[in-house]
Amino acid sequence: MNILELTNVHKKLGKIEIIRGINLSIGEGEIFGFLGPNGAGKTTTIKMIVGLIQPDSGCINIAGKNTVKEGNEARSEIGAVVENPEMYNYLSGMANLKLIAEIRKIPMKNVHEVVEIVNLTERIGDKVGKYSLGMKQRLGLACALLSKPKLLILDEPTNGLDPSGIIDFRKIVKNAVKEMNTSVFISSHILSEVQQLCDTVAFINYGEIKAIESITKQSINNETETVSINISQTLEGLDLLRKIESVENVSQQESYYIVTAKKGSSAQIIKTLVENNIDVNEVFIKYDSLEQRYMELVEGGK
Amino acid sequence: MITLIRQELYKLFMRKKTFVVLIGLILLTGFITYGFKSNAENMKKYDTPEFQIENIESNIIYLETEKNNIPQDIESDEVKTSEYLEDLDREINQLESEKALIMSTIGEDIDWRDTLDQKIKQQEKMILEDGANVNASELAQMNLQLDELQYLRDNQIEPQEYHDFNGFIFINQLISTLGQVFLFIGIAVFAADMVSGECTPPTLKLLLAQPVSRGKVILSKFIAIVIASVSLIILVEILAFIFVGMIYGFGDSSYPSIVGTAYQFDTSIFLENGGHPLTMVPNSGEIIPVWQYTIKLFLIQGLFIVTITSFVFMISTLVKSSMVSMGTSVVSLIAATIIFQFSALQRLGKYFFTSYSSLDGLITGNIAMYYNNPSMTGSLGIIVNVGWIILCYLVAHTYFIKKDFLI
Repeated sequence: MNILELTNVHKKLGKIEIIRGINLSIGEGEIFGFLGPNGAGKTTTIKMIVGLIQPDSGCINIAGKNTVKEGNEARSEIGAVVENPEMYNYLSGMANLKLIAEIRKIPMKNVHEVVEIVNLTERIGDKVGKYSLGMKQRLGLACALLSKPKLLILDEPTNGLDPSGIIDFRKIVKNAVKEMNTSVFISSHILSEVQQLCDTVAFINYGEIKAIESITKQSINNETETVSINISQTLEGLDLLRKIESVENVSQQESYYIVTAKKGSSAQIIKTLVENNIDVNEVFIKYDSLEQRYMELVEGGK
Repeated sequence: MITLIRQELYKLFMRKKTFVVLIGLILLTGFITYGFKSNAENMKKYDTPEFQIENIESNIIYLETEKNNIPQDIESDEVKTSEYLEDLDREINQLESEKALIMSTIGEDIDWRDTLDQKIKQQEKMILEDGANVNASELAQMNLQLDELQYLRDNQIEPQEYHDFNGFIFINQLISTLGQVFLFIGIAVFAADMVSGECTPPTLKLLLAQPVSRGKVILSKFIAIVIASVSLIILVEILAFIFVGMIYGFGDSSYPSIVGTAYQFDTSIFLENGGHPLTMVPNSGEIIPVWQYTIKLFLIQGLFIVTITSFVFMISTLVKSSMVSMGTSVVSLIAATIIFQFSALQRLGKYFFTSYSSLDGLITGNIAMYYNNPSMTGSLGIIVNVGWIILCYLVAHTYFIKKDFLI
């Protein structure tokens, strides 16, 4: 059974349609990346899943429970951090966790466990107002993990974390998945984060899902690649590049030609240039596979 | 649900602002207590025989000097001049005899029971002699006064003077005074961020992402703030009552208080402005012991606190920012109090709860006199308050469960 399922979800805010028909599903134990630029509709989608706002049409099911009709049952299956984790600043970290533990009827043993997992044991008695952003992020994660949810929802979770914090965070999420078989829904605009963590990635822009792809060995299968080439810039060279069969598009950026071509065709491009006596100063693959896809789908292949 | 209410109360009492408001209330109560006490002492000074004699003596001196200041228009007329002087002499004689009377009482211990008996006899005589000449309303008032005196005699209670100060007098004055302004501002400050405070910073996101229904969240917040505001205010008042009572005595708990007086327009009399004067409805007043009066006052105050809290709570739900919520609450409460005092809007005013801030008037029935409107009674006040509580909560509840939280 799918843990999360969105079917044709629409949402208007004011007159603007923010979400224009989203379909996606997440299986058990899957780590799902939700990738898109700022304002694409990532947080709005998450707010609908969590129940902060209601979809205008379409339906959202969590472990088979509708978020509108069976809101409580659906929410009891998820742990979420929406945007920045906002806690009660005038309460200690522990008091914040206890509030949630009480509502969800979670024994204190689990609370202590979670505090250890996110590595906050020493500062858990301090007021949240005195926490750094990184500590707040970790406390937010603790709140989300508290109920050992079937679905963990994280909205741009590494915002404000330092590099070692990001590595710790990745470890915590991966462990949670391994130990509790939790599915994870991560929204992000940081490509490397998604690449290193997720099994599947969905690209969203203007409220629509542009593509859903699976990531194997930290990369996705692309049909094209972008190559930057520095050659002595002559009309001849440009013409030549355009004539090559595998090349789809050529544009100029400062002293480089940016070439979009079929995957694996870079060798052929260099060969053609050399055969035609053009001096090649530099050639490199501009984007790695995920970046390539992101630029294609989200930025319209610019 | 009980867990949620307990959590809301816990959050409320962990906030600094709760203590700031509480300390404010305690200080205010302290100032008011001091004010009442020094006021009572001033009045007591005016009531002493020494002060009264002093007063009479200075009056006599003034009249003596007047003898030399014969007005110019009668100076030439000998008859009028001698009349003028005779008048002054008569007044002086009268004052002298008053003075002698007061002098004779100094040091003499008159039993209050004798004075009381004498007052009762006077009142009875007045009713017998003038009863036929006055209208029904005035007669009813005279009878009520007689009842009050007889109640004192039957229960062997010494009549209180205006300058007396004790626990019961204090607490009843305190509740009436706090009701005028403090309840509005204090509760607006206290309750304004009950919901809006969780939007900035948006901690509501954390709460609403839990498996609890929004209806339960908003209801538990409402119950928590109502419990907190009613209990804090009444607790401080009871402590002040005990404090004052321990020092100055509590007074006789069965001292008579007149309550439930109803009023009507006397249509037989026309005033200059074309209206009619308000008169008491015969047999409408009732005498109850002061402890009962005080309990009624506490209950009506409790109801009034719940109403203001509900109103502020509603605004707090409708508005995202705590500051805006607090401002709107204070301004609308004060504005409503002022606006409905204009005669043009007075007819509407009786449906707005701010018009019932004279809590003692609701119990005595004098609220009708304050607004010159006989339809404003204690029971209407209660109905209007309950109506507003229900209305405010329903608005808050409906809005909250349907709202999209884009915080």
